[in-house]
Amino acid sequence: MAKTSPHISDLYHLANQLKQDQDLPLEQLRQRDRDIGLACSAGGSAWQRLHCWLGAVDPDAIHRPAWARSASSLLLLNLLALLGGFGAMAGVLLGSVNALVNVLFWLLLFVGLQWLLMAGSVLVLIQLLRGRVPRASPIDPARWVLHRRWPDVRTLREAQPLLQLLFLRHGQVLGALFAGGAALAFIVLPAVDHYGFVWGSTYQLSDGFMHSLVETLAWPWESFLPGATVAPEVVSSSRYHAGVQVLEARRLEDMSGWWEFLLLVLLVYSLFPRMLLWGVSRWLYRRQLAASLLDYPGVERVLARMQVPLVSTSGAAAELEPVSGNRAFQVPSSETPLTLWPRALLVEVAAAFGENPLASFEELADGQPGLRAQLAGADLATDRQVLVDLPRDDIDRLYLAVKGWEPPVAELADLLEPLFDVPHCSLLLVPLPGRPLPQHKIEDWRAFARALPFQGVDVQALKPVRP
Amino acid sequence: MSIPVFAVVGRPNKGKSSIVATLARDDSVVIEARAGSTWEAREFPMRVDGKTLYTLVDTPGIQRARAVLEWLRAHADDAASRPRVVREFVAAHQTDARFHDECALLQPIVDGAGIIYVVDGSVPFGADYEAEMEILRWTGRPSLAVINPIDNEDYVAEWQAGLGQYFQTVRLFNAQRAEASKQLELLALFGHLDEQWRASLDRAVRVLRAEREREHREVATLITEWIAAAVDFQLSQRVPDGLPVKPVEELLFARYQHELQSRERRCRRQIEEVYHYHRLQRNEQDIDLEASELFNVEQWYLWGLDRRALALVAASAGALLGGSAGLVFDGATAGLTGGLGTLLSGAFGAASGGVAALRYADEIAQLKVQGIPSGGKLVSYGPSCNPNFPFVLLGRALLHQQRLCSRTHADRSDLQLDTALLAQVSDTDRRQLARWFSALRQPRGAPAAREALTAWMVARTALG
Repeated sequence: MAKTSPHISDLYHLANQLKQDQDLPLEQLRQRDRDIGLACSAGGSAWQRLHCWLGAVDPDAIHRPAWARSASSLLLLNLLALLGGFGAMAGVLLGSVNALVNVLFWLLLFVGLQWLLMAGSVLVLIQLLRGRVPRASPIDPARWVLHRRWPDVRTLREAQPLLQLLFLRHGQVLGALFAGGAALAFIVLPAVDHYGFVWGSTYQLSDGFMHSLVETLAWPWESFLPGATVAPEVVSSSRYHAGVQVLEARRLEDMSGWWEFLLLVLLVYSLFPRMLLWGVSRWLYRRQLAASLLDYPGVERVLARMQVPLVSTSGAAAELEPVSGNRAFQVPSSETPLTLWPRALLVEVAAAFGENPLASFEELADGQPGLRAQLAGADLATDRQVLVDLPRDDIDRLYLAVKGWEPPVAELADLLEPLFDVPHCSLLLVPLPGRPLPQHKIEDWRAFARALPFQGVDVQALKPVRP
Repeated sequence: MSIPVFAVVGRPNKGKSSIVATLARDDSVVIEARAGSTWEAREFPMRVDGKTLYTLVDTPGIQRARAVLEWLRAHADDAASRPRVVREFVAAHQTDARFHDECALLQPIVDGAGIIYVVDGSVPFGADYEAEMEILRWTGRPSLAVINPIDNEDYVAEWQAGLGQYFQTVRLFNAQRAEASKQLELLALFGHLDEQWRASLDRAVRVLRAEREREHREVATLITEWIAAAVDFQLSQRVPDGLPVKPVEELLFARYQHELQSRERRCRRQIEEVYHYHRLQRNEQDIDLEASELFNVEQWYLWGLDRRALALVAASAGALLGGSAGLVFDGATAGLTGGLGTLLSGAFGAASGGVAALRYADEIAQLKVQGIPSGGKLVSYGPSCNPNFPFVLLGRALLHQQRLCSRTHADRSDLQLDTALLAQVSDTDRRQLARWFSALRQPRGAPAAREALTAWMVARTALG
């Protein structure tokens, strides 16, 4: 199982994957994401589901070393912080006159200054927790690391709180390494040389005040590490006057008795809070990173596709090509003008005229056909009998009146079979009252007519006589 | 329990395929004004995670109803034998080309499908329909009739009377225009044909209803993401020392325009896919960022806001911003200024916002030329700061969505995208939209603005 804690590189993988997905058909994405959704554990958080998705769509990306790219810049910066801490402590110790280190200066530099910086970090943290995003300092070294590692910052456009937390996290690491370096120097250098720790009288501080200060600072460990406190007499004897040129050996020994206390001050008040802030910012960073990942444009749709059942209603078969015209009718057209013939038969199909008299149509107003018959009124046998009973020798022309608004059906062609030896057939398309026939209906009938094996066929859309 | 299957049958060109296309949300179904476009039965299973809840079967039109009925009557001994005789007819004519269409439409019915008989309510009922209805009655399968008024509803009443003699349930359903709720109602009705089918169909309706809501949400998200990406879009190009900048500026603008056109097309394609449209012909103008095209009054009226609405919206946003600053001042003076700061700064903000909106209304984005320390220049275009631009994008996207939502998969006409839409949005909504658009341009406010804009669109779609 791959790691499930989010990493900033996931944002980049996510952005790239979503960009690639834009060109894929939605059906394919639905199928893929639903399959991944079913394969991933159902009870996980949104981030876990997204992580599972990322791992499934781009397995290489999720296992790619997160810090592979320009990790050296961060390493260099961390090393500089460590060396800076070591160098600062070494500078203070080695630069002290007569190997006497001013405790107050030491505390100001390695605790006071650190606390000032940490107070800034805490302020930023509080603002972030309250939903406000303070601007990052332009000289923040973490900014340099970030820009080296992630040159395309547009992906992080909306992740400003995340960037702040990232800066904060790196800042705490640098601070902790600085304190760690200082602590290392504070252990190594006194081991090879003798240093005394004094406090001056420049600010007219009393012994009692200094003792109270020491007691207060040592409160966290005095109960279980009494050796790491400074006794009142040691505090008194460490008082330093610049005019005193020669120090007694006992006083010199007392002056070195601060070391354990100061080491613990360094660890507890400088290193530990940094570690604590680092832990908090790391936790908040991960939480914010997960939120940034989930807020990334397009993620909501991915999660929905994973969660929602895949619904399909469309046909599974391949697309059917539309036919051009009626596939059964292939005979070319041979339209002729409609003229009523004395030896003509008018066959009315399915009561096409309805209650309208023939004379109500322009084309039939001037004459009547000699013979008339009705089809599709009863069963097929009756229709066949009607056709058999017709005086075939007296028919030279067939007029077939059909409901123009209905599509032609093959059954009509079957029925006309006994009349196929009639030389000419005219299809009369009866329109609905008050409504002209649509062109596509006429085309349907033309195609039907072309398939009839008469010597000649034509199609006429009847027009009602204008009142 | 068997999976419900419904055979959609009827004469040629009565809208069977239209009904199937609409209910199956499948625009690949061949639908033509000419008769006989379907000549093979085609199944449309409704699946949820691979499990079929029901299947629709589109069938060819009945061509020889009276011939079939004649055969059936000749082979039936009594009423009880009718379903068996229909099966025998299908078995006996499977290879008979003459009865190919009849066998194709009767096969799913003799296999157990329910019957959805479709007629056209815009043409009169006739006795010649009775033969096919009689055949369907002979199958003994549960059935309902659907009147599909293809052109109008002139003969619906006539059909209801005629169909009522053969079918217990007759429903009017316009396959070209039926809204989603009507489609689901019809599906639910299918479940009532057989008690065993009801659970499946009820579940299918629930799933499809939820699916529709999810689709609206997905589309709203897509539109929001498109607008956010468009207003943030920026192009840059380095120009070495000594080379002229002007041609690069023109090239950059052309690339900017081309990229936004592509992105809008992609967004529309995605939205169409969400609504299951894959073959839409679109009748519209491409988004044109040429100042002379986009920023004329007609275009504003069409897609975004006109000058008056734009000035009002910008003034409102400016007043809010200015008022906030004044409020801080008043707060700092412990109210000694009597709210004068809020009033004055609000008024100033409104005036400056309105004037700025009109002053920069014809600039979609600004062209910047910056020197590079290492030599040369960096020419960049965008991101857009024009207040009307996101309105234009939103107007176009909403119109596209509305057109898709109001059409069915049986509709084969071009998608017309040439009417005003944002004109219907209230002033309050416009001001709210302006604030969200403003927030979309700020990295910090973008996620919340996206969510709010998406929710607004979802609510708007739900209201219809």
